[in-house]
Amino acid sequence: MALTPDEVYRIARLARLELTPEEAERFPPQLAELVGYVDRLAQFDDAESAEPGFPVSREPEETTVDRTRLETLPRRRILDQAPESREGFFIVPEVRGGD
Amino acid sequence: MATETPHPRTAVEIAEAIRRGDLSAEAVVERSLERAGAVEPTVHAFVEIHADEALERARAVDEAVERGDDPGPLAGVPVAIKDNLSREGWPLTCGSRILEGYEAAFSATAVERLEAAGAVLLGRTNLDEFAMGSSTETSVHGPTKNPWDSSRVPGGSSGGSAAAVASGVVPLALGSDTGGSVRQPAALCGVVGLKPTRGRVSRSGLVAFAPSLDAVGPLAGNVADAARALNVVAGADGRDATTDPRPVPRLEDHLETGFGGLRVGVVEEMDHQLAELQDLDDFETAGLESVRRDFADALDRVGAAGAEVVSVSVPHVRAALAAYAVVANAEASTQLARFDGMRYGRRVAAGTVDETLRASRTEGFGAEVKRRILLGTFALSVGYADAYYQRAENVRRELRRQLETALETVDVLLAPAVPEPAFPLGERLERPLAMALSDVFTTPASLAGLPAVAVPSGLSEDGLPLSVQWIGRAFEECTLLRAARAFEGLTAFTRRPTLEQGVAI
Repeated sequence: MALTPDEVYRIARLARLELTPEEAERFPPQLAELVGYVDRLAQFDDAESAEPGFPVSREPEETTVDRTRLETLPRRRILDQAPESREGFFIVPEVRGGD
Repeated sequence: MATETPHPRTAVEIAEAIRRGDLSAEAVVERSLERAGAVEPTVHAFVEIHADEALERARAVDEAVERGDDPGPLAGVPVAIKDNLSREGWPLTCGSRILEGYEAAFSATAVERLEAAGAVLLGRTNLDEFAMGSSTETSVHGPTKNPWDSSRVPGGSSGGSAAAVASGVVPLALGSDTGGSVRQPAALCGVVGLKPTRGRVSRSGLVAFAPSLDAVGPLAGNVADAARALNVVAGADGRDATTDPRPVPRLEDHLETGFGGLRVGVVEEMDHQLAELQDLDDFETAGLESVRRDFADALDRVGAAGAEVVSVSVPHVRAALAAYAVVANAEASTQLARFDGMRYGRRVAAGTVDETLRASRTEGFGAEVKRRILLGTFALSVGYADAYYQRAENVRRELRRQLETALETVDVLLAPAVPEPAFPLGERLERPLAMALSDVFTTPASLAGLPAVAVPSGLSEDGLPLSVQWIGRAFEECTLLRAARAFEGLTAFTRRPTLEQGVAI
């Protein structure tokens, strides 16, 4: 499965990234090489694979973990990290520009 | 003048001496700082050393000892933390421009537990940006060098932590391991690197890369130190619902049992994996051969020491890296969506929210992070998700089943940690597949959530560290570390790197 430059642009848009012209030239062959390697998964994914119900990660069976003492971070501490904040709100750019 | 790194005391020795009142924590930290002053210009393991705070905490430990209070099992031990682990009040960069100016509002649970145990945090270590890499070259702070050969990489993404221990600045460091990021740099730097079982150590305060794979683990100069560090940080945590409630046994108590009666499995397919790499231009035959020879030698020694060495088959190890590349990057594309310049970090104003978001991310992320987000987004996108993400998850499930089956017939698996010794800086930066192949042997245990540890085994002809990897059953770090300790006893790997700027202490 080859990854064309057009597809890379499309994916970049989905991922909210912009590629420089240099990256748009550099990335596609690198990604294509990786995707080419990853294509070997097809040989290994067969009917004998473990049942879908088999848990992928080991999650604990019972949660006897104490979650009663969870603290809340002070709002000021969080807002101090913001590029812009005012009166307890994050200030962000407007969603739409003018038409 | 080149001098061999002085053989420092171990973390356990330091803590015990401080607890007895035979050693001052302040003196230990001063020594670490002096050591850092001498080697850091070459090695660059640290993003930042917090010297004043460290000395202050060391003095507090000394005062506690004087009062007769219990200063904790890691009393006065200087420790470094990877800069993707939060420490309240300290910057947290993840090696990225996008978190410029960010200061942690709380400490990671693992970090909190270290400090509660009396450890003195010396500073934050360098890493590949957002823990994505195997060489610690993609950090916005510049690369870390391998203390054994400063023209070579220390491995990654916890390269700073590995180098800080290997160069003798600290006896202990914390790293994070997603596909091998504790074990691989440990192997390349000749130190012990432990990835615990999935759920053993809280991930609260660890900046997420791939949540189903991420693990916090210690790097140390020896197995006993790693065992104590794991005991300090491990255990259920209310802030991380994926932690396991079962208690952690005292791992140090079981270390000296030796190999007698232990059944050690060797995965036959791993030899094919080494052979496969031979065909690639990126991999030098000499490097692959040195690993093969060292591993064969390790098997002989382990057998001679009383273990029963058995061949096992785990066919899906040959698909592990491929499955990992899909799953990890798919999760990363989701986890990194939060970095948008809106609530924290660097904002690049560009008009509307969408334009600002794009500009902030584009300017804030480095090339490797972008490549991985692209790959992950691709693997999850409509039309490709079945062929890539779903398929990778199927393979992962089957790999785990095969590994657990193999570990029913043997107690531990012995494998190479990495396919070759440390490679030169710059060589693989624009070769992402070759870079990823460093993780062929570490990704299986990551995908299956099994505990695994890299232990140094020897030196290559070029004087570079070689290592093996032990892989254990889930939650059986006892048996795993017993094997690791027994192996450490066989190799007596006490060599330290020779640095251009030695310091006599």
